[in-house]
Order: sequence, then C-alpha cells, then structure tokens
Amino acid sequence: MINWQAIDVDTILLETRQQSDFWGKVHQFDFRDKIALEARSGKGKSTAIGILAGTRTDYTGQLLIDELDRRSLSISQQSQLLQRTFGIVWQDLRLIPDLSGKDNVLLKHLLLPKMASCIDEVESWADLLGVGAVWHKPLHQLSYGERQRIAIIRALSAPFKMLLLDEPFSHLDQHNSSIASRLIRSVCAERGAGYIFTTLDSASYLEADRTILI
Amino acid sequence: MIRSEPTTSRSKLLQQTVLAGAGTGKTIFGYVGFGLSLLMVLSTTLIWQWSAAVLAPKPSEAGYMVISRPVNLANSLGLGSSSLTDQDLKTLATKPFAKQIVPFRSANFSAFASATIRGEALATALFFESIPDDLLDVLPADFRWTEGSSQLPILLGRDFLNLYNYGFATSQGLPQLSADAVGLIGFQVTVTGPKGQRTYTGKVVGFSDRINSILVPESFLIWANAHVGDGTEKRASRAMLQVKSSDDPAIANTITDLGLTTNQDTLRLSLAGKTAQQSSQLIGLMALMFMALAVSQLIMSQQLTLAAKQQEIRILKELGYQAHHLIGPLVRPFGIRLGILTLVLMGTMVWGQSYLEDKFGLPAVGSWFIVSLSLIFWLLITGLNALALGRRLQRS
Repeated sequence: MINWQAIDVDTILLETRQQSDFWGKVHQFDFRDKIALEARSGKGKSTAIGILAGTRTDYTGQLLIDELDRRSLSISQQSQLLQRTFGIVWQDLRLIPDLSGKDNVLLKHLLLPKMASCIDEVESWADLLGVGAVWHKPLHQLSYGERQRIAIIRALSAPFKMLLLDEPFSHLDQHNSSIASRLIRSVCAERGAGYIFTTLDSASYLEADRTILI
Repeated sequence: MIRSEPTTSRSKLLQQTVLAGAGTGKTIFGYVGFGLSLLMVLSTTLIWQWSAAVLAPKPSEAGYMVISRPVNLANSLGLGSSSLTDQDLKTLATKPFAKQIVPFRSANFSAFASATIRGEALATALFFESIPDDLLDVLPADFRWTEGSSQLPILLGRDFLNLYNYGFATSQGLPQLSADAVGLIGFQVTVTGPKGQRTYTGKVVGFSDRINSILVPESFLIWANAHVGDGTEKRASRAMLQVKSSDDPAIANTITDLGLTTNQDTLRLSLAGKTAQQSSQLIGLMALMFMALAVSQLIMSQQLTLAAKQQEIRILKELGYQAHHLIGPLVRPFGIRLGILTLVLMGTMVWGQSYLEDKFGLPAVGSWFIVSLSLIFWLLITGLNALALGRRLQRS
C-alpha cells in the first residue's frame, strides 16, 4: 500500500502544482492498482517516479510504503524495496553502457534468480519484443528504441509487486508499443501486480484503473 | 532464436560493470612495489633470524663468562697487577644483569707433573685454579678430594687437549691422545711451598668447555694453600660471571668500562651482531614503510576505478544491489592477484633460504616465519582493501 500524503516539490512551478490533482494532494494506491500519471512535459512526472523509487528525497509531505516512511528507510530496507517491490523503467533507461543488452537484464535477474521468471521465459520476451537478435550486442550498438525494450525486459525479469514506468514507450513505434504493453499487462496479471506509469496523453497503450492529471 | 549460456555469473557481470577499463599502469606499479617491499621485509627478517641463531651462545656457555684484566706492558715489567680488584667484583656484582660473580681461587704454591708415556719421560710445571662446583659445566663423580687422599683429580680445559694433540704431539713425535685415553694416564703431581712438599697421583677426570684452565677440587686448593703454601690467598686474576641473559648489551659495555676482558667470543661478537641486527631492523622498518606506500597505491587505484564508475554503481544500487553484494566480486580479483604474487615470492624466498643455508653453512632457522609473515600480509592487505571498498561503496 502506498500513501501519497500531500507531497510537494519546489522544483516545479508553483502555478503548475496549484492546478495539479497530484502535487500537494493525498492519494492512496494499492500495489495491484493500475495508475496513469498524465501530464505534458515539465510537470513533474519523472520527479514523481523518482520519489516513489527513492532517488528523490527533496520533497515536503510524507510518502508511506506499507506504513514505512520512504525517506527514513535503512539502506537494507531500501534495497529490499528495489529488489522485491518495485520494477522500474526509467525514462533515461539507466542501463550499463559497457554491457550487452542481455547482460544488463541478467544483472537484475541474477540478484534474486530463484524468485524471478526463469531465464528462458525472459529470453522469449526478448524475441517477442524483437530484440532477441541484438540481445548479445554491446549496448552502444543498439538504437534507443531497442534499449528501451531491454529496460522493460530488465524490469520484468525480476520479482516485483508494482511496476513504475516512466514514459516506457516514448521511443517505440505503434506496433512495438502495443506488443510491449500486452507483455507488461500479461506479466502483471500473472503475478497479481499493478503499475504506475506516466504518459504525455490519454491515448496510452496501457490501460489504467485511474488517471491522475499532474 | 538465441538462448543463453548459463555460465555468466553475477560476480563476473559485476566485475565487468565496475572494473572494466580500470587503469592498469598504476595497479602494476603498486603490485611491483608490494612485491619488492615484501621481498625486503622477508629478507631482513631472515637476516635477523640468521644473526640471532649465529649469536646464540652454545648451551654450555650460555649465561657464563670468564672475566679477566688484559695483560699489558706494565704488568709484564712488574709495574702493575693484572688481578681483579674488589671494586671490579663489587661493580659487576651489583649490575642488574649479573646473577653472581665468583673469583677463581689460585694456588700460592708451585706444582710439577711428571709421567712416562711409551718409555718417554715427560715433565711440566703446572698451575692450579679452582671454582665452586656449581659453576662447572661438567662435574665428574670422581672430581672430589678429601684431606689425606693421595689421588688428585684434575679438570682440564678442552683447549689443552687440542693444543697437545694438534700442536705438541705431532711436532714432538708423541702419541695423540683421545679424551678417554687421557683419563687412563696416571701421573705424579708434586706441590712445593714454604711449608713443604707433597706428592699426589694426578688423573684427568674430565674436560671443561666453559673454563680454560687446570682445575682441581676447591677443597684441595683451600687445604693446600694453607698447608703447603704460605697460608695467604692470592688476589684472583680471573672470575666467573654468571648473567641472566648473555645478549644484554650492558654486559659488554660494563666490562669494557672497567678495563676488563672476557673469554666469550659471543659477547665480543655480540656488538657486531647487534649492529647487524639493528641495521636489519632498520631496513625492515623502511621496507614496511615502502610496503605501506605500495599498498596505498594499490588501494588508491581501486578507489579511483570506483570513482570513475559512480554512474554504474548508482545504477546497481537502483537495481537493488547493496555494498555487500559488490565487495566480494570486486575484492576477489585483487586478492587472487596479490595471493599469487605473495605465493611466488614466498616460494622464492623459501627456496633461496635453503639454498643459502646449504651453500654457506648458515644455521637452519626454518621457514615458518617467512610463510606466516607472507600470509599475514596477504590477508591484512586484502582485508584492508575490502574495508576501503566497502566504505567507498557506502558513500557512492
């Protein structure tokens, strides 16, 4: 359970925040929920993902995850959260440039290999998303779209209760976006997990139980 | 379809992520520095051990030394005495290193020995000294004399036998004698003094390594000085000093300050030996400092690698990795490389040690010191690096 309690950040324009349904407001999310955070650029979508993931702590208000204050978690609790609770696709991907796509996925997968999907299934996702052929190549030889799919596979390859997806299809064409969204939905359904994703417009490939305008 | 080879391990991936492209120049410099300093530390330790073994006195001589005043021209001309003064004895007795100091008792009468070996008549003037039994290194059962006894047991310095066998006997065409054979020879001892003359049957009952003299039982000398000699005791010219530990440098200093001398080679050696030991300690200390520099170079180059990989480390943390996941994979290659280097150098040192000990007849001091010192350094430095990496990762 996520309690978003009047969280505000002064790095976003005051005017924007005052018009927002999200900043400074109270929200409650279950890990199984499917939430869309919709806004134009510069309204703080990535900031919201960062706050949930724990990389941004410069906010007022309080974020509780399973009753625990997000900011006062120990290093070990923080790692547990990233290992078991959240699977994250960052907008800037955050892949290791020196490794191949496959090794990037393995780096996440091998953290808790027994609790995650088996590696054969993970490889089948790579084929499904059309990156199976470039899977072994060094990352710098891959297009941004291919890397984005690698980042999605990485997030799915490890255990999670909820995905945090920051514009996950921003560099994918329609065809690939719909395949990727179907994969995400089916893996989440299989695990009984939900997701929070950010999007620029309401015409998204991922369905949402709730859309919050930031 | 592309399938994975299951061989890729997490540690290997972590190493590729964090250590890829690590600067090798500085690392190699660090390893070379460590290797050289380890060799220096081990060599100086070995030199220290060897000199300690060479300087250690023989068990029979440990803790005992004969003190005397060196003879000079004035003594020879009869213008002074080479005997020990009461002040000398008192000074030595009050020193903290001294257990006891006992002057030799000497005869105040003349003595003469004669024997016939293979039909050749041999005769020689003699001198006698005595010392309490508990300061003797050998105490044969028959080294005893009671008043009225006509047998006079004698304890001879082993050097006398050597002088006779290798010098006198060979040049004079006399038979060489083993220690056992000497004991079988009976000879006549005549003592002459102001109070008369007496004759005894002398017999060598043993040889002393500690005291280079002609010793008779103390009971005989006390009696004969009174009943054959003039009844006065001569001032002692030599004394036996028993010390707590013979490698105390204060002993040599005190003896020199008093203008005295000692028979003990080890004591005279000990000054030179101490200098060698002290300089090897100094070099060893410098080598340790050199090693500290090399090790800090090694650790620093790992820290620099980590500093250059901040981005990757941040990503790993965002994936859920903690410092403890990373330390093992990151320290292992370092530990293995350092271990191989240490093992090779240790093996070389052990081989070199036994080669030198064989070739130059150096005392065999064993290799346990080299082995344990190498292992300690290896563990210590690997642990230190792990600690430094851990701290760095926590901060990243």
